Amino acid sequence: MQTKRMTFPGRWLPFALLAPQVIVTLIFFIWPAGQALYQSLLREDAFGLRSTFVGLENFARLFRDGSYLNSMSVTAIFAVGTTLVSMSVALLLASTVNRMIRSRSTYTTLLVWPYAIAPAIAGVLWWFIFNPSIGIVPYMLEMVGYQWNHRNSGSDAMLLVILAAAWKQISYNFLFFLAGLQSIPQSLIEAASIDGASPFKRFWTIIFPLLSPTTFFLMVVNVVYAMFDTFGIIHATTQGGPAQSTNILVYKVYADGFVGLNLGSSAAQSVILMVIVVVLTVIQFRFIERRVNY
Amino acid sequence: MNTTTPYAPRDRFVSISSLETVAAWLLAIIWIFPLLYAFWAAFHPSEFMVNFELFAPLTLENFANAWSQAPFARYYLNTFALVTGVVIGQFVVCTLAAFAFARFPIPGKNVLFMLVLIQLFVFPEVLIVENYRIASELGLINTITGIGLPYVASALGIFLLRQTFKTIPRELEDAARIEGCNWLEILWKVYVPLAKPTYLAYGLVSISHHWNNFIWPLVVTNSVESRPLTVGLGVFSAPETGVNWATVSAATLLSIAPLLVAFLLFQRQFVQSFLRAGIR
Repeated sequence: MQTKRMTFPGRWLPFALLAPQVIVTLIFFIWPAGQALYQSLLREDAFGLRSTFVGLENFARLFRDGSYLNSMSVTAIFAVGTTLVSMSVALLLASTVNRMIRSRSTYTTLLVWPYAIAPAIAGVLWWFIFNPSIGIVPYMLEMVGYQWNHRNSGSDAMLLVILAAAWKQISYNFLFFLAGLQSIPQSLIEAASIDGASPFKRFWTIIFPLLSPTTFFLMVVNVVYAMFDTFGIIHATTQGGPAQSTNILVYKVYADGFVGLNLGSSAAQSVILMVIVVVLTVIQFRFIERRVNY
Repeated sequence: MNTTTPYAPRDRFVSISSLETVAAWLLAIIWIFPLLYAFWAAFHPSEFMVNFELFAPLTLENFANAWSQAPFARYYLNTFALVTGVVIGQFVVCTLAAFAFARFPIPGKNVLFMLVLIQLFVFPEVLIVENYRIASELGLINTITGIGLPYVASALGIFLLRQTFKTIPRELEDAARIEGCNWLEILWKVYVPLAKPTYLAYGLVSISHHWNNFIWPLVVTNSVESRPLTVGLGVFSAPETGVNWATVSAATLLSIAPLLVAFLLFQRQFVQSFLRAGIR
């Protein structure tokens, strides 16, 4: 029946349809990605006049470079911290809202708002609140005897960027958790509660396992968000400091490429980031496929 | 199971105790605090910044200051032009590509589509130095086109639209062809109308993303003429400029107000579009 269906005349048509997309992709993805790969194998001399082929030397150098290794571990701490904070708070909020009846929609609106705020602007807000000289939180912390200063203390700075980044992402996680919770049949929970399971136990033995697809999906999204989409927050709050304690990989590529102008090294960093992205994409799609079959 | 109560009363999981409600609202208020605080600082004279008096005088002066100290009207215009341009461009480019991916036998289609999928997560941030060089070779630095063009072939858009187009029955297409429609009319009169929810969902996601985008516009622009709101606010509130914080709060509210209002008005659609765009 549906064997050979010549849908449209002219063999050129599908290619013409794809052309705009392919052209833009070539210019802004394939070509720059190729350039990054190529540049990452070269080293320019001090005046930028000649470049020589150095093989994987740029990568080897990066992995010997203390500041790059530092940036990697900073990124790991930041990504894990942001994911943990944003997902656990979101799950807490979502399970509370799921049990609410009357004020649910007002509550949801309130919780979704931070998502409308740009990371760069969220950064400004948090910078303001935590500003050591005029901010309100350091002022309150001082009353309980803690000297907050993210300009000197690396751990204060890390805490600040994690909070700011997680704050913005909670809305997104919240929506997905809420949708996940609402799809769990009420009868299961009622059955467990008739068997005498406490709310806490109901949560860990029934709700949490049933939410695991959502949780896994959100984990990948959150890690990607923390690694690649938080430039604005870092830029507005700590700018990678103090002493590189919040210098995540994306910020370092920017700083090295535009401020330091070290092209070979910056290209090698871009390549490493691309590899991370591709790995995360593959994980994500494996998961989505499994989910569809399930 | 060794529990004391044979069963939990039904209302324990259907309704919610007042203590829990209070806790839930407390948590929400702590969470929304940065935003509330920005509202407080923006609507009060600056001496009330850490001095919470219920009857502190309200003022709009901070907004007037912000509006006069930075070209916000221009920034608004730029952001508006940018978002409109990007969304229209994405709709056109992604519709055509998705149509081709969904309905035409093309040699090497799977390889091409894999390339699209990889781009789902490759933000321009990753290749920022290389992209900057290309934009400058094309003379796109400091233009709104330069900010928007790299996003026009959106992987997410192609992906979502292709999924939707694939679910549309071929019979509808055949019927249209019998009526004498050519491919453009079929696309325009059959596929596009049936994919309306996808366009809405994707459009909302795209608008909020580009309204908020920061790093690429920051790198590509260096003048008032092309800077969007986020970058303009970033420049305005940079710590070294030493502007008054009440003014910065007012400026912050000015830049987020349109999206906040939009979220309020289209909450249901926004929520659904995020879930849709995220899961599929």
